[in-house]
Amino acid sequence: MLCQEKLNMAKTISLINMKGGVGKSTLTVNLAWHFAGYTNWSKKILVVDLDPQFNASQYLLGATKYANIIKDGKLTIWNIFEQHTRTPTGKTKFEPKEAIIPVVIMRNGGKIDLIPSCLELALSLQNPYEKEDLLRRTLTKLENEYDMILIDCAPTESLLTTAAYLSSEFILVPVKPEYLSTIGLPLLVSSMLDFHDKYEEHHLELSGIVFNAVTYYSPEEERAKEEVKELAKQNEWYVFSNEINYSRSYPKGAREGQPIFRTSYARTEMAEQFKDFAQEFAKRIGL
Amino acid sequence: MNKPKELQLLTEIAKLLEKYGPDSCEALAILLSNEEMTQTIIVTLLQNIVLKAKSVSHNNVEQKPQVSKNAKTFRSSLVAIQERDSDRGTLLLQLFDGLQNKQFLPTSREMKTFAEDNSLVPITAKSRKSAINQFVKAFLTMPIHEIKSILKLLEEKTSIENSSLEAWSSIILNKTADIK
Repeated sequence: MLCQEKLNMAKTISLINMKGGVGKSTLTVNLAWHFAGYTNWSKKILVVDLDPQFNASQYLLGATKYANIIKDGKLTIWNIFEQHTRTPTGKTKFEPKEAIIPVVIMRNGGKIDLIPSCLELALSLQNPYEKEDLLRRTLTKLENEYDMILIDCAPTESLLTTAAYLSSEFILVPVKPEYLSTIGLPLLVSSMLDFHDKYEEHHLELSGIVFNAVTYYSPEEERAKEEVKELAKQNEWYVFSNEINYSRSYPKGAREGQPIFRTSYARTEMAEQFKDFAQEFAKRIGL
Repeated sequence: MNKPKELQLLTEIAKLLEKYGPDSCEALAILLSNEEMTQTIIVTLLQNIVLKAKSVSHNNVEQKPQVSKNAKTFRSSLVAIQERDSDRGTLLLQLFDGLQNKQFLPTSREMKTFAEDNSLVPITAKSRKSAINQFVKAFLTMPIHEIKSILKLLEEKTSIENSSLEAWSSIILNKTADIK
């Protein structure tokens, strides 16, 4: 029976929205850098890339390192979901720590590790039978190693979504304030309700909705925000008071494998704005 | 050990033992036991004294070639290490030359953040040339396998193709052998 075994040490948060392109991976990586890099935090962070599009892996590793990982046959998130699959040579022993790639170790004691993803993860979805709890079981074995585990989710309802919910204490929902993006929210509500029906013992808390890539430009954006706030009010969800503005420094940082506070061209106010959101987020999850 | 100045120097060194740890001091003692290396260090120290004296007199025009000469002197000290310890010297030269010709970490900021991210000695130097010397000095006493892993990391990080669409296309289309 699947029961809740809360991760004692690490706060585990899934970043999820049923709409793609809302900035989940960028937000995941920048939060990881923030809590690992700033001296007042110096946290040990594990990023779990749970998206077959592997954007978080691309951001954190770069092409050459990623290619070497694949070439060297190192483990990825795929191995977590396929650890019990029998092959003609039998079952291989799965050791969770072998799936972890160190990304950065800070002088302040903070660090970022990654469980990378790969395209083949999509194949795991074709045979989802009894795989949904494998991620949680794996992360439970790593709970003492980290202060925070950030799971970057895929934008579709699948085995991977259930696996993320089961592994998490909190979810964080980035929403781009535009019409199609906001429709991802009711889809997420539906997904969470289905999950609660099936796993009613599991406590999963929505830490909040954060408006991402805000431009403060069009009336359409304001309308989208109002609609989301209204939906949040109806469902008693928290909406972060700090929003994340659109900045060209985010995609540039992704290309260079750097967070916004490390990019030389980022306007200070943009980096500060992210810092304010991160503070509010930390408070919400009790970090 | 009756000479007061030598005793004073020894006391100063003893104070530094605590800061840098016995392993670093022992490695330095091995380096200093090489006569050529000692000569190179003395020359470098003397040049630094000359440079400082010149900066006091605000003679900025003549400082530039001196810095360049200083870089050459530093490189020659790495060549001296290579003659004595081929593996270490070759790796250090590869690192130094890669930084000099901007193959690795082309900006001082990148050098600084790389040092931070990999728990190396923090880069405080303002100019790139001084920063390179400071960066490479951190590797003088590092175990060879660690130097190799840092070099590998640098090659991965600063690969020209690292963030290009072409590189990712190769991976996604299963042509990983094409990636450097």
